[in-house]
Amino acid sequence: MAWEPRLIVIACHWCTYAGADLAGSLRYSYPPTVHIVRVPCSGRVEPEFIAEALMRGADGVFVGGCHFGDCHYKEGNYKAIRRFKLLKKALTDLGVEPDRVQLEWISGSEGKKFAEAMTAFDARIRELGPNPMKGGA
Amino acid sequence: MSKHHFKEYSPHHPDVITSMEFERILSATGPTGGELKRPSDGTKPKTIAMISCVGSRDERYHRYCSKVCCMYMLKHARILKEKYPDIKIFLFFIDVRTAGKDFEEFYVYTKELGAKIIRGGRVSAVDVKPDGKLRVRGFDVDLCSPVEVSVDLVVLATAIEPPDGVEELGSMFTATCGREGFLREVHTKLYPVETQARGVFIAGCVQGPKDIPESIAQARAAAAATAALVIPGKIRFEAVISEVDRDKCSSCGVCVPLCPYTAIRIVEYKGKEKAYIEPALCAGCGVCASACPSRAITFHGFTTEQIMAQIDALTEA
Repeated sequence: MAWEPRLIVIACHWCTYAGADLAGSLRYSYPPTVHIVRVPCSGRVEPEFIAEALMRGADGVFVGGCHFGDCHYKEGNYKAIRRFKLLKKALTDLGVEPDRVQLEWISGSEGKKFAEAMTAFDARIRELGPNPMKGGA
Repeated sequence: MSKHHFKEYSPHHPDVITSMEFERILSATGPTGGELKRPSDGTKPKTIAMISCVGSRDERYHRYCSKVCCMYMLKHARILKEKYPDIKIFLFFIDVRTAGKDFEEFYVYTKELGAKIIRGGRVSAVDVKPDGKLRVRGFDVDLCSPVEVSVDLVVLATAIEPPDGVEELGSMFTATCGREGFLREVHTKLYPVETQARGVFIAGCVQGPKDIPESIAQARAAAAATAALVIPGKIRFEAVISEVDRDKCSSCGVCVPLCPYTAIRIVEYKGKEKAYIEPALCAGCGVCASACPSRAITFHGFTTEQIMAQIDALTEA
């Protein structure tokens, strides 16, 4: 069987997860390669989660949070972006393509944006090809 | 708002006053003992113009409607007309907003008393004529033409503004202000008196412009919400909150400034300073759990193990 990417999406409960829900209600389709993990807030995302996913062979990790000023927990998304930038730097140094990880702000009313972001992320990962770490870390 | 922001309305003239000042002139306990006297020479004005939306619904100042001005302008007009039927009153409105129980009746009654209501655009200018009278220039949509009146006294219904320091006050207990500078409720419809800070409730104009019945209704709601928290004598915590394993805690203090709810403090435990999360304040965002270098914080419901297990399951080939 041809290679199909495996994408992990870590979505914040209040915005991106709701956006994913809305994408479904509005019948927007997005690639079946997407697997969503729900967290309460993008500030809950430990860099280790992303690293673990990549090490276990995920081809891409997408983190979705609320827009600035919209965080249900006031400022979790600011903490998320700080950690994310550091992680991205570390991954680049380790030789992982930085495009394998992405952070995006998608609100609960942006079902269409969610579907589009997923489609674009899937396409980008297909360009990059399989995760070189797959099958042994 | 002070009248001095509005250069187009001749604020330097003593007979251009704000509604607040006019309210004092009408009051029996006010500076004139309730007698209608204009500030410049102490004579009784024969014609009065009142201007609405001064600083409200105006992109240069505040975009919001101050909500109470239409009604108090009508009230002032009504008091004047009942007391001094010979006074001519011109009320300049953008729109008349008298939504509310019995408010429309009040409007109709004031019109019947003979107050002249001019609806239309914003008053463009108030200037001083050579004879000392004040000239008010506006537009009347009913006449479809510009109008001009000469009056002895101009009353400006200036905007309601959030008080100075409300932002600092809010930050003391982690409540946030909205774009307009008023304290923000959690939800406009479902949680109108709750703030982001648990156990802190708001009522009245600190949350936005509102009239007395609304303020009272909101204050009662806030009182009831407070009582509901206090009277049982115990608080039900959310299940999804963080907890520190104090035996693992290395007392680094990284989590303390990260908490958006100031729920984490350092307390003594077994003779050492350790982090402690106040369960009643924790809102369950998990920021602390993901920052703890010692992995001493367990975020119930979304533990690192649980999320890792999900990731592992999803990445299984």
